[in-house]
Amino acid sequence: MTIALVMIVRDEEDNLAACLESVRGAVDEIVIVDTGSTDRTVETAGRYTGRVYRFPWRDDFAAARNYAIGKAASEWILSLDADERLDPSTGDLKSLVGNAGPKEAFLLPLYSHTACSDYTSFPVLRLFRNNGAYLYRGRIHEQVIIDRSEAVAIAEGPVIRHRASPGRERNRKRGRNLALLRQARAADPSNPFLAYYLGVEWLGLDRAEKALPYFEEACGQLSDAHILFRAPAVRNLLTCLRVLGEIQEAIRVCLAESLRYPFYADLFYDGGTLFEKQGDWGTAARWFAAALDCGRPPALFPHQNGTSGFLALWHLGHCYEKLGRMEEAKKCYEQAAGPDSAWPLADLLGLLLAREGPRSAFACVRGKFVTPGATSVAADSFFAAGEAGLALACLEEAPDLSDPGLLRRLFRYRVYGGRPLDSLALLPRIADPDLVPDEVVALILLEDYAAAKARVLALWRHRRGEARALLNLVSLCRDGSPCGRPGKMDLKAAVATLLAVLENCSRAGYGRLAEKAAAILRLTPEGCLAYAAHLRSESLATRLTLERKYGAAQGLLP
Amino acid sequence: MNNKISLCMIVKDEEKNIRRCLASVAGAVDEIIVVDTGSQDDTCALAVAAGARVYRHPWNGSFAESRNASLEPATGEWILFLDADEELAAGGREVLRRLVDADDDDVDVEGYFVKIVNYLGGEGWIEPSPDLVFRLFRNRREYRFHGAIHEQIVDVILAQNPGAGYRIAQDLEIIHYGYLDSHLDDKDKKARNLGLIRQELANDPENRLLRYHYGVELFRAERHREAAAELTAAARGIDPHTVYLPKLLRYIVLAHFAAGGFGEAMETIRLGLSLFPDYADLHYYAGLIAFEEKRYGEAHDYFLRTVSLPGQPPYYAPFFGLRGFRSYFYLGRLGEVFRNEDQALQYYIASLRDNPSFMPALENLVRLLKPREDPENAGLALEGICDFCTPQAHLSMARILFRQSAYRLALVYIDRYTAQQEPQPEVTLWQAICLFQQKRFLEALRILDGFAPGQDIHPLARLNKLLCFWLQGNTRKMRPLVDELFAMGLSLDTGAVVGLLRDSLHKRRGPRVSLADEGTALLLDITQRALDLGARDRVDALLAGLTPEYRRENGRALGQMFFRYGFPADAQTYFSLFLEANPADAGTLAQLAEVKASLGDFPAAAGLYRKAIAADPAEPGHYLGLIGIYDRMRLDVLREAAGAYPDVPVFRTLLEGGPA
Repeated sequence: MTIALVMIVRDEEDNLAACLESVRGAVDEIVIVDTGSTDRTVETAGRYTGRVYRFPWRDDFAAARNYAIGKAASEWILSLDADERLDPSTGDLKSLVGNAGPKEAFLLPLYSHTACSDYTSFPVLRLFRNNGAYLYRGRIHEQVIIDRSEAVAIAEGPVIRHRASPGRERNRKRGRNLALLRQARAADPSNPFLAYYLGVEWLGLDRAEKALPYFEEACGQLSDAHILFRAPAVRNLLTCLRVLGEIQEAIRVCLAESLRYPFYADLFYDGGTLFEKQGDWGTAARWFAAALDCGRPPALFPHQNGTSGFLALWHLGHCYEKLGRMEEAKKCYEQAAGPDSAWPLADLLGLLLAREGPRSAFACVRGKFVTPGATSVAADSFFAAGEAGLALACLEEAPDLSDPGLLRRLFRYRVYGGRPLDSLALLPRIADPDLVPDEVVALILLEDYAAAKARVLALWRHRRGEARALLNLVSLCRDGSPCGRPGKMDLKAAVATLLAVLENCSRAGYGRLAEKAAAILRLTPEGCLAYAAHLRSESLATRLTLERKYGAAQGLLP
Repeated sequence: MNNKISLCMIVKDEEKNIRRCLASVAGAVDEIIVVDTGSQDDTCALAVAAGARVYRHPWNGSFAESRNASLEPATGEWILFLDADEELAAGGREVLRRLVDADDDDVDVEGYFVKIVNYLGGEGWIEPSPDLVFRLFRNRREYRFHGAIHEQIVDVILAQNPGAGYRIAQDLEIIHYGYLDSHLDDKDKKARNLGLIRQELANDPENRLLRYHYGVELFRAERHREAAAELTAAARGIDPHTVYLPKLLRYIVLAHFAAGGFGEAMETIRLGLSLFPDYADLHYYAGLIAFEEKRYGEAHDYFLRTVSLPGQPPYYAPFFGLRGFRSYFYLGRLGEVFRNEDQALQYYIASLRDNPSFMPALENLVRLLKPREDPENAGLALEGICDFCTPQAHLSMARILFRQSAYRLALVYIDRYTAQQEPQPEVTLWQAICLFQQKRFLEALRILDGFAPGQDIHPLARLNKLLCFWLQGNTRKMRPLVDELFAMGLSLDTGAVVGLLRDSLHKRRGPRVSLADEGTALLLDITQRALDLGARDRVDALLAGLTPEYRRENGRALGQMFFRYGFPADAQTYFSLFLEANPADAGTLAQLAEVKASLGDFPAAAGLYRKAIAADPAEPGHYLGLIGIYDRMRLDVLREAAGAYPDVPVFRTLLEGGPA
């Protein structure tokens, strides 16, 4: 069986190479149709295939795609966009089509990522027989139409990964899409698919008020026969309502839809977040628990990763905390923390630190430093609690310190853990301008003002604001007075630098240095504002510790 | 049908009680049989006078045999048995009659449980504690008591007649005075009972009920650890429907609690609550344990649950006030722990509403009202909260206020009390001291001179007079008083303080001294009163006579006093001194933090609070103190910025509580 990758592209020089690399060895033929690139897209494509064609753009996606299909000679078509990648570690195309039997097309899972573990999976029809009959329809959001549904199979892999492109570029595309959709809508005003796509575009532009009526229409018109559309329409509708603050209405929708799809974890997760937003922790906890019970939804339902797992657990832990059920909260955070999701470890540690003290907190988590992410989260949590020594201990327990993030932390926590000299010994292994403020702090602690000043001056050219802030700090420590106001132009960087020094020094118990940083901050209104915000967050953090410690007594806190 | 009731009693040396008991059953029973086991007093004569038939049955070590001897002569269809330290509550006559005559409809009822109200406590504090006891049963030959102590009959009835029904007699109530401290001490009951039961238990080690009673007696004898072990053994494998199980569980909890075994107590509570989820007493003790262990969140939960529970069935034998003033009191204390004075006040008021004579709540309430700093408002609030309808109420308030050094307001209540009642010498002394602290020296001196040399309180009066001259700097008048006091034979410590007072007015100094507990208490009292009168220099001179080590040891108390009376700089000195020797004393660290804050040194205050948290992470006050410092620092920064940059509006917005 032969497979052709078929693409239409335009101005995709940034993305295309990576996409084509990802299918290397998985397809027999690559057909690329360019619809009018003005950048080096065609040139890039040419490096991978000789089958590059031009097709003049005429506001019709289906026409372009069908043209491309017409150029393919293989028995199967794989259709990708330039910002997508095939993940060969999750399945093999060849064996999929090799064992297709009577199946004529496959739904492949598309993972739409915003971060590593933050993605939603959608089944998409991207692999189908090249028999001349399966063609795209629709000028925009074109679909391959296969009338016999029994000819379509759902594949668990390989996965297509999609990462949202940077904001401006995306918005330009959305503008273009909206125009096309409006045209299509004028010709076909009651088409619920068009309504759905209009909603998607508006929501992507952060215009929930525009998107809302389209999703309402789509949810009302689409039946379960089109669950591939109806299910995401429901979730998007909920997103719109939440963004617009219409929590009651969102809850109403959620209740109705969860009766209709009582197995759909994502909906229960959404419901949980809605009740959480209302401060109804008890109800929210029940919904999150229901989401966990659901497990992964059936294959045709889009699924946000974690909503039946670590995300639900994490939220459930938060609800339990608010309800004063700290032991249960602890269990949830512990389960939520995994190789893809280290951050619940911070909540677990927050609870353990508040309730059992730093030593036993450390003993509880010391077996969990399996990934650099987990080690970092743990070290940061201990440092935030004023336990620089234990932060260092976390790093020392890590199996492998070669990760640059860990190395940076090792340096930083040595500076703030009372070991400035040891920290400087690490410098040859790390070159990171972000660490200069910490290095300067170390030199000040060692009273090596000359070296501190030299280090600051080396920053002068590229990081003026930071340099000014640190120069002031060095002067204040050496001479007892600052050397003038931090400059106007790069004040933002100066304030951020001083604030970081202040925060780190107060966590480390370097009271004098912290006071000096605060004194310089207070020289400018921006600094005052930042300092006041810092004090507010310290106050809130202390209160959080208290709440975690005494859970149910929250009603007693003044 | 007119069924007859025989009252059967056994007595020994009960002349103090027997009359009350027999008077309470007059007309309620048809015959009274009293078996005397060897009284040396007038018990028998009093019983005869009250209409009893008295029989003698020499004491042979078994309560059951004596009891059975009292059953022999009974001719009634029903037996009621009481102890001499019990009485039938009012209305008992009608209820009894109704019960025994209703007999025709309930032929299978062989006996009744009756509600008994035990009075516990002693002078000044008596509380009722209801329970259920089996006291009324059909007079049948086969129903006889067994057991040398805590003799039982209900199990015999059940053994003889497995189908026998028994019920709880509604409305019939017995009052029992035997657990009052006076009665318990009177009879040395504890030791006697313990010996008897131990013997009996040796003969009958399987007897669960006996073991339960043994455990209870051990508990009463304050042998808590053994009590816990025996009671736990008594509960092992028990039928959960056993009528005394709730009480048994509570005793186990109490025994562990008293022995400091909080973990075991909690385990028992958890087990108990799984069987009796609405048992208020268990919730209350769980709260108490959580409070002691500084698990304040859980304590809060438990006390709230305790007060929300419904009325308790009599077989729970609920302790008095746990669902009311006692839980509210702890909720008030929790309010204070979390520096939430509004909540604390509300809960103390709730506690007092439930029991106006519960002094601990009143004391804490008064303290929160700051009667020394703000006597007007505190006085108004107290008038609104308390019901001062008796002279005693005025006196109690006066005592509390006096102890809290709120002399001005204390004087008001002392005056009201003395207007209604001839005051005790102690109260008169308080009056003098209160006048003294209002600088009404002449009136004070007149009262102080009124104490006669023979009175217990005379030396104290002379000491106060000395204090008066000391404060006025009148060395001439002090001299004879000092001599007089020494001539009375002062303790070494008190003498040292008197010497300090004398020497503090002279340039020439004796060697520096240090004091033991008694002298320290007196010294602190004098210091506090001098500071109250604003006599800082006198205090300085007085303290200068003490060794540096002594001042360091007592730095905490002295620092508190100086801070309380508005001398933060001195407070700082003394707290710092104390911390030199006790660097991890969390309480002092926190107090010094407040002193620093009052002096405007917020960063130092924050640092001290952080140290206090590290030293005692379980104390919410330290966190709340730190939060307070951060919030004040922030306001400080914003205020300064708002002044320095009037054209930047965000600082004003933030100061007014708006968003950034």
